[in-house]
Amino acid sequence: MGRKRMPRVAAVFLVAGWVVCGRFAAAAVTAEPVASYVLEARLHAKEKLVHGRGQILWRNATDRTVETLQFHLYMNAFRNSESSFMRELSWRGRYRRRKPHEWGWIELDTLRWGSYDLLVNARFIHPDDDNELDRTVLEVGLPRPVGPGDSVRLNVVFRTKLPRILARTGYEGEDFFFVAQWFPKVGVLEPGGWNCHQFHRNSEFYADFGTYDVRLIVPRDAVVGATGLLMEEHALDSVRVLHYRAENVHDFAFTASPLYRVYTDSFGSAEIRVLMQKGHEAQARRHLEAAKTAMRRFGEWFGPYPYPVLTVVDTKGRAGGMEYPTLITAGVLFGPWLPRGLRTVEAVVFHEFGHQYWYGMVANNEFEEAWLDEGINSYCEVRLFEEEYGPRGNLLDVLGQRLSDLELQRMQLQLIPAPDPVLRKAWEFVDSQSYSVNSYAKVAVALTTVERLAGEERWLAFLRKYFERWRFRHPHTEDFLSLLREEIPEPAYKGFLRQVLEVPGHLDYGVERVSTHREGKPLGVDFDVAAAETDSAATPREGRSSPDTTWYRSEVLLRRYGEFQLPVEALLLFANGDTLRFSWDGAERWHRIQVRHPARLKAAVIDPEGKIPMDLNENNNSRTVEPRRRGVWKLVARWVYWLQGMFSLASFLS
Amino acid sequence: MVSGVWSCYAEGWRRVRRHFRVVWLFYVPGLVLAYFASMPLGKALQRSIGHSLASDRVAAELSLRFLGDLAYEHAGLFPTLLALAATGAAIYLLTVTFLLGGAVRSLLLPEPRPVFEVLSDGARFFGCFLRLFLISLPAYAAAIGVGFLVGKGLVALFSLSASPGAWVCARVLAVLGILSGLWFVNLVFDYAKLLAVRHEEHRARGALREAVGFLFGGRFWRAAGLYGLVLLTGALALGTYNLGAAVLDGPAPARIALLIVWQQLFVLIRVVVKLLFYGAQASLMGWAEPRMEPVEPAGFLA
Repeated sequence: MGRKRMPRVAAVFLVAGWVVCGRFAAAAVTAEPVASYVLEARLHAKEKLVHGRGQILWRNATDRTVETLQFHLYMNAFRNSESSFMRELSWRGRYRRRKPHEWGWIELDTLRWGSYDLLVNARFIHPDDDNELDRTVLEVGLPRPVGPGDSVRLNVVFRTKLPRILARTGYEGEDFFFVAQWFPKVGVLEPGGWNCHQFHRNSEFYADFGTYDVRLIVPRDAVVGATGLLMEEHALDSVRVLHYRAENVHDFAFTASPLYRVYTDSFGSAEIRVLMQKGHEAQARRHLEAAKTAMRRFGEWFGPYPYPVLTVVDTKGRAGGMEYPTLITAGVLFGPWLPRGLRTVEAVVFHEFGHQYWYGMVANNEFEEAWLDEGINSYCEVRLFEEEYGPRGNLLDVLGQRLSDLELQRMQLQLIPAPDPVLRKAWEFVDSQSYSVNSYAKVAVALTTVERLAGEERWLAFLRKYFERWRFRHPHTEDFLSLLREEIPEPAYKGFLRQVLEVPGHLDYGVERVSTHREGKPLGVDFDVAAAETDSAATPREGRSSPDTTWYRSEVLLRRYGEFQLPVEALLLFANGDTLRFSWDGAERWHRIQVRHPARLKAAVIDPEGKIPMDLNENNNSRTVEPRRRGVWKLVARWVYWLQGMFSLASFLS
Repeated sequence: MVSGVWSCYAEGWRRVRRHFRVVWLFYVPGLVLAYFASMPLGKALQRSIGHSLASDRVAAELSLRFLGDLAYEHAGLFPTLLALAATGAAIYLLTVTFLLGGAVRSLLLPEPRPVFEVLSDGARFFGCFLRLFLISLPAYAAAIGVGFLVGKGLVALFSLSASPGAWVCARVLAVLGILSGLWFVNLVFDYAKLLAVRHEEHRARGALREAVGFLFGGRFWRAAGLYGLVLLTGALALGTYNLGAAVLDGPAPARIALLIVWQQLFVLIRVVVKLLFYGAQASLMGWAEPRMEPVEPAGFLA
């Protein structure tokens, strides 16, 4: 190597080093590693099996000493029909009747701490129910206690049999693998003890942050997407070895399929990779653009995306939309062709990307307080849609039919029975619908309501502060509410949010009655009755003929039909164009407004600015004195016409 | 052949005009049934928005958001409306099956007939037509099944291509395949009805045999062409209706009133087109069948 070339080579190394370190520096903001993994995993495509081995480094970050370790063995949820997960499935026939090779499981062959075999003193526990057949949580006794700040380094060897896609993990056909929750994962040690729940139908996950250093050995023709940054890749006979590394994350998932088409782009310092299924290529650009849009908006609101890469996977079969650190799944719902006005691709990408913030970084316990990520993230999704595509028809705008994301969330609240409160452990909801409506839609609509009441800027500032305070940590509901109290102290909506979280119910205010009548002369014992009789309205007395002196008494009855209470405003509209505004604290079941005004009352409107999307019935938000029938006529006429069309179609058969 | 199809089509129009009262017989029951089936909606709307500013918004634009609010406020409304719609459709189907015998008979005859005669003919052929309807159901199902399978094959074939255009083409072809199957079955059964009335054949299977014989006795393309022309007439009517409806759609009461009239006019035209089909095909039957020569009286009767 000549002298002249040396500085150039050094410069190249310097720049490369700066780029790599810079990229990791962005990621390595603050997370304190608690559970880190160095794993090597070989995917046997034919057998649908993953052979894994490696080390788990766990640090006791609490101030208590522990004598046991607890592990999630999530894949055992798919072991047989008697796991808690399978028992909780409502579509029993469909999922429970699986062919023998379609079940999934994980077996630990070795788990050692130094020379001590931890499996000697291991047992399956079931902290959430009395299902002794559930094998998703393993507790192992330690040969000696682990004190605060101490670490243990475990050697592990395991085999994971993948199920046919279930709960977004497994295989589909011979050539599609989505491998999530595939390795033994340490539970979270909290000040109160181990938090390590069984795998349930409605629950997602909870884990400590750490570094994942994973070598994947996959069939040579497989295209791979995985958590973290690809550090190195090389082929070896019939396989390829890929080395991934991810810091400040709490999970690792990967996918492999020879049929993926790869599309790349970048946003800031992050590389975006989209893996599309064959035949779905036409939707790749939409996935990339949606990912970039989400990165831009979340970056503006909460701070830049800190990881060096984001992989978006167009899944196959029932894998569906799901989030993993730096890896999200999306997909084309209705085939490769979608009208631009139907933004299902964007909806899934926005939502799953949002989880990089709410779940990925602000890592709440999804078993116990799913609303903290799903709800806040669904709210962000609603907000993103409104900012990007406007408030109307931002999710659907096809053939004159329009629907916004907020309206869709609201419709779920209106139409799907959800008798639980939001604050409930995931597996304790009456069914998956109630879990879903409460954890996602209800919180999204409630937070949009609070945003509109508190003011956008103030609310966003609060949310950003919450994000910054709890990034790379595990917040709880009280952490959110106490910061809200500090940042936005108005009592009105603070109480409202607590109601939404703790009380099953809904919000509906309305105008029950309006009346208005011209003020006549007072009658009765104390007044001159005879004068009143002669002084008819048709012949007004002198001094009352002027419009200035004609007064109307109007009465409005406001009602609270729902369980939730929220201060509301009412607007009274008069025939001469005057308006009067009233406030009501919304606490009682009803509130009467009586006014004396020189014009007839035309209508009364509650929540006139439409600040309360949580109000589930807007039809009763206004009431007019005179009938308003044009809408009724038009809709009934349209329905009659549609029915005639339907009858005509039926008569085609005659 | 083309001139034959055109003349049958024109003759079909003349026949429908001549027997226009039959059009009313088909239109009025549909309107009455639809009116009764929509009464719960009217009452619910009256309660919900009869005194609400939301009524103005609905008059301007029917939004999914409004429907969500309505469904929330009246929990059982939509299932009730669907049940009533299905019941109304079933009743109308039977009514049309009843009326069709009289209508076809009328369209085969040159002179207008009193309503009771139309109804009496309907009653005579009701049994036969009902059987034909029942037999047609598995035939329609088979047509859909075959069309679906062919469509699935096409989609699988086209899915190998990455082009979204090819994907759309495959699906359009699949839908067209199903529609063609339905059309074919419908054509055969409609001819069975026509021939049943013309030849006083009250056995459904006999009528069906005659229809197949008639259609595949060299007249298939004429019948199909005529069907196509009637279909085109219907499509033109639909296009015209849609244009007018788009213009008339608005919240002003006068526009709403005009829209209602326009809607009902289109429903009436739809009935006309349905009868035009029978009128034109009846004319084709007369055109296609060899005219009987008048028989000379036998010598011993002279």
